[in-house]
Amino acid sequence: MGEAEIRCRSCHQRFKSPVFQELIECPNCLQKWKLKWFDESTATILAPESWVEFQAKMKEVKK
Amino acid sequence: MKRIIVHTERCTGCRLCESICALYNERMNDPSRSRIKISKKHSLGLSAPLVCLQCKNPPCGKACPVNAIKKDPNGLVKIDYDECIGCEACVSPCPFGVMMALPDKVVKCELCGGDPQCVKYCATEAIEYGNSERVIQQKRIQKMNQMLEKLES
Amino acid sequence: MNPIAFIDLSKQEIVVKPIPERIRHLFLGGRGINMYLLYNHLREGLDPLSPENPLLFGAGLLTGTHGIATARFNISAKSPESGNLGDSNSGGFFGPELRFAGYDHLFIKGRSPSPVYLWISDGKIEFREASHLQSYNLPQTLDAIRTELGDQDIQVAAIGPAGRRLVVFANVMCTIGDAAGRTGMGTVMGAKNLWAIAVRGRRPIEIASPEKLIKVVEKHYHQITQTKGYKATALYGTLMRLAISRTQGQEPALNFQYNMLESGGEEFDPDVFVRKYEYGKMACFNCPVHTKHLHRVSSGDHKGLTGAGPEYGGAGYFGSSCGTGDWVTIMECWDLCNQYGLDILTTAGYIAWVMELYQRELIDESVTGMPLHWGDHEAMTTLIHQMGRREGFGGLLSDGWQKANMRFFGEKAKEYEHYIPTIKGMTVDQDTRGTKAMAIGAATATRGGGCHLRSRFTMEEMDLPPEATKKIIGRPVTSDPDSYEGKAYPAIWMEKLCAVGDALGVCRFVTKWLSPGLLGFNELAEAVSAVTGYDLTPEQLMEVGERIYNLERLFLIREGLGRKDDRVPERFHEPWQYGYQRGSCIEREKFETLLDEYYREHGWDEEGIPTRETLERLGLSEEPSHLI
Repeated sequence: MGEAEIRCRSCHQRFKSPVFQELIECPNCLQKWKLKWFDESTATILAPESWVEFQAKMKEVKK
Repeated sequence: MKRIIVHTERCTGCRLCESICALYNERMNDPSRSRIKISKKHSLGLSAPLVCLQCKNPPCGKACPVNAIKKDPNGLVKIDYDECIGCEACVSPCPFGVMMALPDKVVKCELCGGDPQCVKYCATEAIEYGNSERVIQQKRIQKMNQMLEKLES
Repeated sequence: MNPIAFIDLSKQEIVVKPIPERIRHLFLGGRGINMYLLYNHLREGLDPLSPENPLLFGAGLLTGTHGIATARFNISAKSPESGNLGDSNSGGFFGPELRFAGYDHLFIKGRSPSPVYLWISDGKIEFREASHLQSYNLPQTLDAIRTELGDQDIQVAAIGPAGRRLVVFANVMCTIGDAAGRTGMGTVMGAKNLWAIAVRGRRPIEIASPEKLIKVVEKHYHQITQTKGYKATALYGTLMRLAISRTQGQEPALNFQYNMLESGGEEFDPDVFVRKYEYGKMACFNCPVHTKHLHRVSSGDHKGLTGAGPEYGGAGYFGSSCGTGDWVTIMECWDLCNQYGLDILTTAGYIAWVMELYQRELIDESVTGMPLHWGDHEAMTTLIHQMGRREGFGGLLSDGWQKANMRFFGEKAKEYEHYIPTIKGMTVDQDTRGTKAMAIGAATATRGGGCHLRSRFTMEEMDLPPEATKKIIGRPVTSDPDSYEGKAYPAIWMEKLCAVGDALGVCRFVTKWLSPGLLGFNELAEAVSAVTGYDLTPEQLMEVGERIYNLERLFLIREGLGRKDDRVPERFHEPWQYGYQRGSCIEREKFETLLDEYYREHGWDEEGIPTRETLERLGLSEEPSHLI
């Protein structure tokens, strides 16, 4: 209770987020995500904190 | 009294309520035998649940020539099938069109004997089993929260 | 159960026949029986626009029954779009009402001398004049027929202006948001001068055990609404996929040239869409997932625009693939397609294709008549109008990409084919470079475009431990989506689930196709038992799925397809550039090895032809082929 399991969409590590927190940071890769909460234990990632920053990061490591 | 409360804006038009009603009350797979009806505005994709609201002064009861429709002690508007002659005079006076004229009898929502099934299958709570007092309270709380939010910002 | 009606449009004759029990046991209904009929009644090498192309409408075995999400029906024929298997599935309320009207299947042949629609009510079938519907778009056609027949509860499946003009990727729709798309089934209707089918009925469907069904529906309803992902799907619908694709680096950007849309923008996520544009949700028959977004544009140049959608296909393919993250552009393209009755994915795929050709200066304004810059709203909407009306540059696309490609490049046409990513003749609907089970499922899918609805092993990217996958599908599968190891079996498992779902008329979105906690073969068997009294085990149900898929494979082989056509698009051999799975691609040699494994698992030879042994096991090796 009081937290939800999140899987980072950048590094795919699982971590727990405090309940109803709308902006969280992945402890592994430090990417910040906006969350949508449905109840005390269910949340989903909607978007990175900033698309511009996220895409800039993606471009840096482009293959 | 408790009855089916309708929140039209939540209805998605899935008609699970019709299916469950027919299956439960008639043991048949035939939504035309449902006591609750979903009416649709197809061009906008919108739907409205229509079901007996257990009126305090039921027009169906007034129209019945043999006094077969009466409110029971709990407020439920019931058809006494021993008295009913099947004239269907009760159908037209209903302002919601929910006195259902089936080929073999008229039926109306009688709340499944106190445990209405349709409300259990409404994913958006567009229909719920409750009373008006509760709905009014909920609206007041909602409004209060809106006003508080405005104050705080 | 209801009979099948054989309807001859040329002679305006109808013959009604019962469907033998034997066929129900072998194929159930819906897509299953459609495939049986199509295989047996279609003449080899037939022109899909010929009156002899059998047009099949099939309600699922459970369609219209009071279970969960039992809404669906299939439309099948030889496809004018791909030249091979035509098969299309739709939700809404048409399928259930067809059954209440007294028919489970329709076999439509011939061509009406003038435009007609069928009116099926409580067992009666009538031919009615349709020419006066000429000026209506598709949603207007649905309303006009309800009005003239005088009953708002009538369900109608109709084609729009695109189908009437024989655009090869025309669809059939039965509500403002429910389409039987891909493979041009609307085109086949247009070629037969059959502009719509209207149905209405009050016949109960016989249920073997109503008591059992009440228990089953309660169990399934709770199972579905209590799964972890339910609330997200109930709110965002298929746009949930948009959030996942954008964040994981799986966007089909600029016609699959990239896997990230740089210009996507801050607003291109499902939450913004729902908050800004949605005014309600629309569901299909008996479905608590209700994914359809009723939208209204409330300000700007397009104020007042309304429709139902977009699904992920619109966001991904009119959005990312065409180079825009603008919701208004996406909604307008979506709604225009629905007004014309054009398939969303093909239309969007063609637009992205010509935009790439323009980008690479392989075609220019002297050909296109206008600039085709990525994400240009004006260009996109103009092209849709042109495709729907067979006018101008867009009109060159109305007869399919192969003809357009020949027009543009003549002798060099084959060289330039790789600029439009296709599988088996149709534009693809998913980028499977990073998910190998999905890739093999797409490459071999019996419906063109590498159809994600034929087999998409979604569990592949859920990071499930192998023991967990073993519990669900019977074998452990590595949690690494990039690995090729053991990926044939899960793809095939999913093929069976999809085929069974379509034969029963149950929607993907309440099954394990979407998520592991939803309905699987066990639950579907419960529903079948309660409704029909057939006590099929889950294994027997799986076998029905396998049978249907093998029959479809035989169909493709007869039409001249084989191993050479079990491919991913050329550019999927090039690596993804961005994100967690940058570098992922389909390596040619590894793919061939996986394809060999896939054929072996299926009981097919090295060319992908079902062996005698397999066909005997499935009861497909000999007649009866004309039981109906």
